[in-house]
Amino acid sequence: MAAGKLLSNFQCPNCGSAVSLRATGISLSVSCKNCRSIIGVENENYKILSQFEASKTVTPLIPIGTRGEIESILFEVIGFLERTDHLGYHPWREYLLFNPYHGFRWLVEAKGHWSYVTMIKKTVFQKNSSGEIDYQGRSYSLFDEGSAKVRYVWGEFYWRIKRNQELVTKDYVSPPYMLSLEQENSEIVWSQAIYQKAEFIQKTFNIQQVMPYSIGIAPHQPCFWGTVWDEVKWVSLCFLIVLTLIHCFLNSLNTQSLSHTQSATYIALPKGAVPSKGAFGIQPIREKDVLNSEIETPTFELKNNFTGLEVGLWADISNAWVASTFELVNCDTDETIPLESEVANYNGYDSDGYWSEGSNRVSNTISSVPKGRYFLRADIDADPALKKFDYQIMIKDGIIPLFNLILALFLVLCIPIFAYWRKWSFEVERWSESDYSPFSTGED
Amino acid sequence: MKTYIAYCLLISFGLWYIDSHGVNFLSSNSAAKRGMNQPQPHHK
Repeated sequence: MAAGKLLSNFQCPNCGSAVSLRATGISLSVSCKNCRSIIGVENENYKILSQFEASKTVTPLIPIGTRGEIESILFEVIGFLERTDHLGYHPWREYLLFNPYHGFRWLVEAKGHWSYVTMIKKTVFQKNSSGEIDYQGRSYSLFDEGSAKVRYVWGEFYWRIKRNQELVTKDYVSPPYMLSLEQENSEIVWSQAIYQKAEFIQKTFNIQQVMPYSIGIAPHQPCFWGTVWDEVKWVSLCFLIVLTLIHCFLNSLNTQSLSHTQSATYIALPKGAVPSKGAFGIQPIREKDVLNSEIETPTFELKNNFTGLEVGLWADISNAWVASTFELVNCDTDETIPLESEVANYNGYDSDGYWSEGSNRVSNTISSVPKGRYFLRADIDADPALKKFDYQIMIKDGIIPLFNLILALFLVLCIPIFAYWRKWSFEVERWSESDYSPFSTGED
Repeated sequence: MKTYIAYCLLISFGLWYIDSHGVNFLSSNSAAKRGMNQPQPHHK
């Protein structure tokens, strides 16, 4: 090696243009703006390492020499290179940042997605049982492996950069981080990237042009709904328990003060028969006259204010229907609360065997009945084919429907369920770009 | 996170309220509907 002093400014040995260095003594290669030659600057010989086509020009979005502050460190852009995969279909751009006290970092832009990259000293990673690698408490999954070659260079670099220099690459992701391996022969370099929003990069480096449009999802792009899911999943679990406890606690406090059952027999009389005078006066003349189509319960008292009242109807019928119109009457105010119920029970045999539908019993609930003295009036209507059947009316208070708890649980869960669904969709789309997708079925 | 906790607290209060007031959303007999019924003469 010839002894001598490296200069910050010198002439290109190929075309004679002025070339200047920003990281003198650290950079090992620099490109000539005029002839695109790559010049070795590890010593004052300034030897040409390789040459790019002078006609091909790529203008960096962030010009060389631009300064910007990331993580409270002021960096200057000193190098720019464009790389592609080995087929040349998927280019990406890398900006070399330099600070005299903190060294080098990279800004990488691929498909409009930005990463801030730091080289790491660790050179060997052990894979865990899942095939992932662990680093600083995070597990990284293999996302992509392939090769990369340099297509365009501008500025200076801390290694001897060459045209079409090809590297083996592997990317492991744990959003918003990505670990990248670059291997050339036996030399392995690991770096850690963290995803950056384009708006932040634009503001940091005062970029006036329109930023590249983001295409698809980056391998390490964080998912907003994934963050929401991580935050709310345990909170929602806690509230599921709280809601269940509230419901059970109120059920245990809610003492039942009424449980009444009243039975009667419905009898259809032949048409034209003399209407009987029952307990409730003369029955109205209908198409056919019936006995016990109207009954009333004795007066009862609801002691719990705003209670749920269950009114049940049971009828001993088969292949027929029975409907009832109920009226809950407040003895003190004469205010009535109407309710309708219908029992239908059908069954039989067909080519598939026995079938049945409906039930002999039906229950309905009246909400928030104020405390007081009441009686219940029922007006029964039945299938004309029915001549006689027994039926029962049941009343119970203190009903707290399970549906209230189910509704509350649904309302609490709808946000985490939505967040999980969006997170899952996001991850499926992210991994659709990978050959190592955990969502692939193996038939793809 | 805080918004979601506030939302869950509101639902907890709502459950406590409707359970303690015997509200049943599945009931065909809502309070609004009931209010339309004027006192009716009856057989008592």
